[in-house]
Amino acid sequence: MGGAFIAFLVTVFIIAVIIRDSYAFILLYLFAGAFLIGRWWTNRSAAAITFQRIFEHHAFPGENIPVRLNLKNNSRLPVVWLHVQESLPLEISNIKVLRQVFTLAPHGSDQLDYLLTPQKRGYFAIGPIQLSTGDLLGLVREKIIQGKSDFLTVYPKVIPLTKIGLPSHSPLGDLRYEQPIFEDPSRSIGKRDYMPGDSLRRIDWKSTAAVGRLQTKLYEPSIALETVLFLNLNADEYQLKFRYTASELAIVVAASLANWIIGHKQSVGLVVNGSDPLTGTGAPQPLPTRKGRPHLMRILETMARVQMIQTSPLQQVLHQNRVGLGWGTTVVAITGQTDETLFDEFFQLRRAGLNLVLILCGEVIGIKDIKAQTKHFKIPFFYFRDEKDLDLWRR
Amino acid sequence: MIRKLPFHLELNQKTANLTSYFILAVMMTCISISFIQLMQWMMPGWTRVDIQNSAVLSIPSQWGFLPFVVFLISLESIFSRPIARELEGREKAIYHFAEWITIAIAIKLVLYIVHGFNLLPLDLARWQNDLLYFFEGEYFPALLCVAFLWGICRFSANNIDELNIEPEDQSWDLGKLQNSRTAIRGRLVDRLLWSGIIMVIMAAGARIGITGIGNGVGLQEPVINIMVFFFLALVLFSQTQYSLLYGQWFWHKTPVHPLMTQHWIRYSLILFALLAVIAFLLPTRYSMGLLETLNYGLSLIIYFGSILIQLLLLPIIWLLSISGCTRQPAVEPTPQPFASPAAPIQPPLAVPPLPWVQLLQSILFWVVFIGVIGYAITQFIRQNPQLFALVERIRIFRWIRSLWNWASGLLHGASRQVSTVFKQARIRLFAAQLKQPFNQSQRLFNFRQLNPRQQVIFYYLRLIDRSGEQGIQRRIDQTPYQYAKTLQANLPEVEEDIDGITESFIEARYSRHDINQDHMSLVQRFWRNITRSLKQIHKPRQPK
Repeated sequence: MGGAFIAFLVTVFIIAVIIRDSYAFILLYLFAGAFLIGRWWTNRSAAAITFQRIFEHHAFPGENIPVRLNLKNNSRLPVVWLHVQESLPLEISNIKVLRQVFTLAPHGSDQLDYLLTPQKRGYFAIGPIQLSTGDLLGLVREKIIQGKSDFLTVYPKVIPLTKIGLPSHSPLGDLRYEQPIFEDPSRSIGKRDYMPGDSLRRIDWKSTAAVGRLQTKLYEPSIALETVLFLNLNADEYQLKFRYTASELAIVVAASLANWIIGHKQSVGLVVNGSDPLTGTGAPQPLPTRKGRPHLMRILETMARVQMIQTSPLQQVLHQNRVGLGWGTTVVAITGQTDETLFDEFFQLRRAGLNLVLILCGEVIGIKDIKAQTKHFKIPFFYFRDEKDLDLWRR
Repeated sequence: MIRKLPFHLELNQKTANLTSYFILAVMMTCISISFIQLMQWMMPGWTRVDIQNSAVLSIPSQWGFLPFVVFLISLESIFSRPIARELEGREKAIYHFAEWITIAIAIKLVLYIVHGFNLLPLDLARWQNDLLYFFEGEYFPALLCVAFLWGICRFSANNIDELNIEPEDQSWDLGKLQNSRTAIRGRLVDRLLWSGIIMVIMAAGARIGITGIGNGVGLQEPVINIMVFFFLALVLFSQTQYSLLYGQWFWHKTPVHPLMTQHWIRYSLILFALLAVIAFLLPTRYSMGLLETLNYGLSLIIYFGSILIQLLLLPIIWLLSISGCTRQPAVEPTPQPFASPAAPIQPPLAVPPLPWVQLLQSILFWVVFIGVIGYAITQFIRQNPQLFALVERIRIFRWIRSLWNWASGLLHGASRQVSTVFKQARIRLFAAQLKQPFNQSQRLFNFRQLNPRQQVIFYYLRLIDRSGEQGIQRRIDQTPYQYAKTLQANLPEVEEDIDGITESFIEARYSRHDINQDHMSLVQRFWRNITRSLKQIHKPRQPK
C-alpha cells in the first residue's frame, strides 16, 4: 500500500502546486499525518510494551508448571493489536509455538496462561517471545520485538534407594559399621565391668560410683562415608545405539545415589564431564564433597543442565581429580563402558587409599569380562541395564 | 480444517462487509458531487432546439439529482453482484445489457422528473428526427459519470469480498494466500486513491477555471465532499488492513482478543477524526508562497522542455520540408515566440512588511514542512527498496530514465568539452605569454603587477636578451641547462649565480607550487650579479 500512498501524495502535491489551493494542503496533511502518526504510534507502542513470565523455575519430570505471561502497555497510547508468539521446546510442552492476539488499552495489561509439562530433565529456554504490532492502515512495516527467554531447570529423576553397600575406610562417621575397628566415642551403646587393658579414658566414673566397681563404656563402631560421584558423559564411552538412554540412566543413578547419601547425612561431591550451558567454558564445575539439602539441589541442578558431548574420557577426569580426594573417600565411577586404561587408573586410585565402586549403565559389550576384571581387582561393581535394575538398591 | 466459520466471525464479517459497502456508496456520491461542481462550471445551461416551433430554448442545468442516483446505483452495483456471479457467457452479457438499459432509462426518467414531464412528448418527436437528441443536456455526462462510478464501486466491492476469510483458506500456503490478499487490497487502495485524484482534479477545475474552457471563471464550491471521501477512504483502508491481518491470524488458528474488532473500529475512528481536525487546523497560509514558487518552477521546466523538443524536432522538420513531405504553407509562418513564464505574482500585502515574529513563524513553518516531507520520503525509501526495482520495470519510467541519462550525458559531455577548450586556451595563453618578448613599455608598465613566478621568468628572459646583446646568443635548440653552461664558460666569476637563476627559472616555469617573494628577491640578486659581469664583457679592458 505504501507505494500507492506515496504516489498519491506526490500527485496531490503536484495538483496543489498547479491549482494553488489550500484544500489540497489539507489532504496532504491528512495523508502525511496518517503515515507519520501511524509510524510514531507503532514505534511508541512497541517501545512501551513490557512482559514478564511468572512460573516456578525448577521442577521435576512429570510436574505441571503453570506459566503466566503478563503483558503491559506502559504508554498513554493504546496498542490496537499485539501479536504474541511464544516459542516452547517440545520436551516441556505439547505446543511448539503459542500464539495469541491482544489489544491493550492505555496503561492496560493482559495475560496469557499456559501449562508446561516437562517429561525429562534439562535446562529449557521458554521463549524467545516475539511481539509484533503495527499501524491501522498497514502503511508502516510491522514492528517486531524479540523478547528474552526465561529458563526452566528440570531436575533428573530421583529414585528413592534404601540399601546400598558403599565401602568406606573413613573412621568416626555417622554410619554404623560391622567391624569394631572404628568406634565412635559419641555413640555410647552401654557399659561393662572393667577388664584389664581397658583405657582409663573409657571408664565411666559416674556408673563406677553408683555400682561400686569399675565400669567401662562401650562404643558403637562407625564410619564416615565421603563419596565423590564421577559421572561420565563422554559420548564416545557409550554404545552409539544406546547412547541417549544409557547416559540418561547414568544421570538417574547418580542423582539417586546423591539423594541417598545426603539423606544419610553424609557428604557427597560430583565430578562430571560433558557440557554445561551455564558455565563460560562449557565444562561443568566440579562440586566438592558437602552435606545438606542445598548441596543436593546444587548437584541435581548441575545434573539437570549437563549434556553429553565428545570430551575427555573418564580415565583422564579421574586422573586429574585424584589429587584433591581425601584418604578413604569412596569414588563411584558411573559410565557406559570400561577399558584397560580405566582399570589402570582404578588401580592407581586404590593405591592412593581410595575406595572404588564401578557402575555401568545401559547396554554394555563384554559385560562378563568386565565382571571378571572387577572381581579380580576386588572392585564393587553394579550393572544397570534400565531403571528396573535399580530395584536391587530398593529392597 | 474448519469447514464452516464460527458464527461470531461470520456475523462480524457480514457486518463489516455491509459497512464497507455503505462507505463505498457514500464515497461514490462524494465523487459525483465534485463532478457536479465541474459540470456546473463547464455547462451552466444548455440549448434545446424545438423542431416543431423552430425555437431554441435555453435550459439551465439541473444536477441536484445526481448524488442520489449515484448512491442508489452504487448500491445496485454492489448488491446485484451475486445475481451476475451465478450467470455465465451470453446470459451474463444479456443481464448486464438489460441492467444498463434500465439504469439509462431510470436516469432519463429522473431527468424528466427534474425538468418536467411536459417535455417528453416533444422529445419523442425529436428523437425520431435524430436519436442523438436522446443524449442531450445533462443526460450524457450524467450517464458517463454513473457508468464510471458503477464500475469503480463494483470492482471495489469485489475486492472487499475477496478479502473475506473463507474456511478453505487454511488449505492454502500462507505465503501465497497473504500475497494474493495483499495484492487484492493494493488494487482496491489504488483504485480508490486514483478515483480520489480524479475527484480532486475535478474540484480543482471547478474552483480555478480552465483557460479556454467555459467562461474561465472558477466557482468557489465547498470541498467538504472531498474531505468526506478521503476520511471514508482511510476508514475503509483501515478495515481492509484488519481483514488482511485477521486472515493471517485465522490461518494460524491464533486466538484473537474478543474486543479486538471493537477496539480497532474505535481507535480508527478516533485517529482519523483527530487527523482530520489537525489537518483542518494546521496553517496553509504559508504554503501559498511555496505553491507560487513551485508553479513558477514547473512552468520553467515545461518551457525549457518545449524548447528542447522543438530543437530535437528541428532537423526532422527541416529534412521533411526539403523532401517536400510537409505541406508548405503559402506564407512561411512566423515562429511563435515562447512566452516565458511569468514570475510568480506575490499577493498584495494588506499589512506592513512582516515583523520578525511573522518571519520566524514563516521560517518555522517551512522548516517543519520540508522536514516532514523529507522525513516521510526518506523513511519510505528506507522501507521500500524494492519499489525502485519495481519502478524500473515500468516502460515509461525506463524511457524517462534513459532520456535523463542521455540529457545529462549530453550536458556532461558539453561541459567537459567546454572545460577542455578553456583549459587548452589557458595553457596556450600562458605559453604565449611566456614566449612573448617583454617590450620595454610592457616591462615598465606591468612588472609590479606580475606575480613572483612571472617575475622570475621575466628576469630569466631578460638575461637571455642581455646576453644576446652581449654576443652570447642562445641557440634555439639549447635547453636552459645547456645555455647555462655556455654562459658559465663566458662568465666564470658568476657561475653560481647562473646556476641559481637557471634553477629558479626551471622551478618557476615547470613547477606547480607557489613561488614566494623571497625566492624572487634571490633571483633578482643573481640577475644583478650576472648583468654586472655582462657589462664587463662589453667594456674594453683597460690595462692597469
